[in-house]
Amino acid sequence: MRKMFKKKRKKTEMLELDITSLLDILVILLVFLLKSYNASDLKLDLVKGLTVPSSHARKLGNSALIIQVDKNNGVWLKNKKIGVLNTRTKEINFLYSALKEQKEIIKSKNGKESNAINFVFHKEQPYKNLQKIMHTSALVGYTEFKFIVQGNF
Amino acid sequence: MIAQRRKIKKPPTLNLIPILDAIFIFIFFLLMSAQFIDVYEIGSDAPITTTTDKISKDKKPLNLIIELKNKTIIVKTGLESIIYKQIPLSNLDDYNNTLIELKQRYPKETSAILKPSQTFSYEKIVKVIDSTREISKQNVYITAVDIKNKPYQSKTLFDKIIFETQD
Repeated sequence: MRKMFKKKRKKTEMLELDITSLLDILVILLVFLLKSYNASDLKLDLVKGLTVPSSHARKLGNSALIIQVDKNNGVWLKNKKIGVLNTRTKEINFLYSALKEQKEIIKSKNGKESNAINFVFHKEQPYKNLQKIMHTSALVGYTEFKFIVQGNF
Repeated sequence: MIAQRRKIKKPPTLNLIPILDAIFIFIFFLLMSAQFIDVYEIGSDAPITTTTDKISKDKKPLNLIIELKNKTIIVKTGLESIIYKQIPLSNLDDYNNTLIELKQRYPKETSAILKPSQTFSYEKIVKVIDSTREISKQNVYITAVDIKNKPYQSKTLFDKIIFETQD
């Protein structure tokens, strides 16, 4: 009777997983990610309702203060909406004070000033709005304008 | 007499675990740095005026001004801003050819002043900038000169774009 209930010791075998399909996916993913890899240090989060125009430009963007203007004339600084463009004057007061504040913060953080500024405009924005933004930025001391575009080559 | 034992050779198995670990780490790194829109920049400096007493008598400066009005591109040259050519906006190839012609005459000039009208859209401005900065046709090059007056083949036309800020 004892013998009947005696458990047989089974030899445990190593479970072998077929990872071929997983490897295939990984290789495809790797190729796709390598293709979309961008060495630029500029990290851009586009705001809602903003389409950047396409261009043949090939110079990679650099990290700097980012101003975005969406299609409803909303002005965004560092991904925060700071106002709407509806002034008739050349200067934009809310942008001027926000830029001035940012310049002080950057100066105290890094110890040196940067004159570069990235502009991300909606493709249908008229030149008068661009002009106002450029003019106000130049007044604060941001004189190196960088227009961010989408590559299409 | 002596029975030969048949040895069953097991196929050699590759240890893929280290390479898989490396690929996984690599994928995480790439996913973190991936940007799904290819963004590039077009540089432009705010205009700075300088005064000079020296006027070169050898060659007059090009002083290239590009006016963008409605659906027309007006190319002006010289200190007196004389109209060199008027080109419809739809014909950017013709505009590019005009600039190639000017660049061949003034190989050292690199800047162009852009004067768009108030209602001119940003997308159109970018297209004009593209045609101003570089030769759009493939396999077409011009002979440019470097600082040491050494000629070289180039596709660059007027890559320093200055926006006119006055009304």
